[in-house]
This record gives sequence, structure tokens and C-alpha cells, in this order.
Amino acid sequence: MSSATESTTKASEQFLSNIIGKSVSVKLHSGMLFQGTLESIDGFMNIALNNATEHYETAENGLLHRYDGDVFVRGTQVLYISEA
Amino acid sequence: MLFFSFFKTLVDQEVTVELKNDIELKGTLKSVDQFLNLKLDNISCSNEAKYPHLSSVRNIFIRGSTVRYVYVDKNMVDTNLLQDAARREAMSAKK
Amino acid sequence: MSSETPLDLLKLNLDERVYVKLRGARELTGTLQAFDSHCNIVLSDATETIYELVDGELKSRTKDSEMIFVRGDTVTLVTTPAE
Repeated sequence: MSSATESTTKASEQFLSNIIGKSVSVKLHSGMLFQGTLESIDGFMNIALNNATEHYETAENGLLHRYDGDVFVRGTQVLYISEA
Repeated sequence: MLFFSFFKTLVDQEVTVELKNDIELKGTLKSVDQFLNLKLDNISCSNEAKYPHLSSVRNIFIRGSTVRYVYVDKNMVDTNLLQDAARREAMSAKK
Repeated sequence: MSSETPLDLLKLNLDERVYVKLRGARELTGTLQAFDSHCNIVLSDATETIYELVDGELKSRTKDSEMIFVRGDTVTLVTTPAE
């Protein structure tokens, strides 16, 4: 593995471990947007959120769902995860 | 591997498979492979009027990726055994 | 990597009621009997709800099943059902 790919792997891993416990936005391929506290994330982008809310496309659009329990989001459906 | 084993325990039982194109097929499960491809014997289609092209088909090979659901009778499944197998699978997947 | 992973959440929900959101405006609630890393799932005493637009009007219908295997590729989300 070249040092360039090694450092990018490190960068993304670092990002993923740094945002645990923070408030995040998760966008799915379907356009659904989830916001909540990041409980955990794995290498497949499977995500566990706490106190999640669900909107379509942006958080400015109406609240569609509030999940009181922990939410598991399947990695294959994830477009991106960002710090909210 | 968990669901491959699960389906192997259901061989020779009657199951109903719902495909992603909404076709529903009931038949005897004859075999399964690691991709969860399924072979059904003696199939009947729940909606013959809608899918007349299937009315003359008696046995069928279903590509696993086209399956949405498989409906199973409760008495065919040992739920305690299944839950334990799921816990063991979760443990081994972690390594 | 910490030992706590998203899939541990599913393990904690074994033998509990769960709500599963699928692609194509479908959802299921049922008792979680099994899952794997592809999110293939078996639920018992499950109710499926299918949402459809009929002449521009949102309709839903439900379907009960005593034991159902759900192929993981249509699963988008798993959580505990709202009571």
C-alpha cells in the first residue's frame, strides 16, 4: 500500500473515531436525513444513533419521525455522515 | 452462514417466497446454497390471474438476490436455537 | 476500533420487539429472532405495513405473518418500536 492511500485511510478512520459521541447528520441514498448522537460506526458505515430525528433532504423540512430508542442505520444505504 | 444453515433446516417444508417484483410463490423448499438461492418444488402462485406465465411452472430455481421475504410456519423453527445461533454468529463476525 | 459496534445494537434487541424500515415504503414490526452482518433478519409475530399512493392519496395496508425472513438488501433502519 502506498503512503498516500495509507494516510487517507488514517484520515477517514480518524474522522470516524473523532465524531463518536458528537451530534451528526446522516444522509441516505433515498434522500432521508437523520440527525442524532453518534453511538458507534463500523467500517461498512453501519451507524448507531441515539435520539435520532428524521427529515427529508434537509433539517429545514418538516420532522417526519423522532426515534426515542437507539437507531441502527444500514451502511449500504448511507450516502454520507457529517458533524452536525 | 447463519441463514444458509437456517434454510437447510427448512428443506422439504412448505414455504412462501415473496420476490421483489411482488410475485408470491408457495412451494416445497428443495435446496438452498450459500447465496440463499432457493429451489422450490410443486409451486403454486398466489395470484394466477396476474401471473399466468407461471401457471404451468411446477418447479423453480430462484436467484437469492430477487427475494424480498420468505414466509415460514412458526412450528418449523426452534426460536431458542435460532437466537443462540444469531448470538454466536455476531460473536464470530466481530473477529 | 471500540468493541461497541452498530451491529451490537441488533444483538441487544434479540428476542425483543423491533421496528424495521425497508426500501419501497415498507416497514415491519416483530420479535427479532435472528440477524447477520448483511442485515438478513428473521422476525416472529410480524406485521408488515405497506404505504402506497392511490390516485394521489396515501393509503396503507398491513399483512401479518407468524415467521418471516427478510433479505438484508432492502433493510434501511432498525430500532425499537414507538409505543
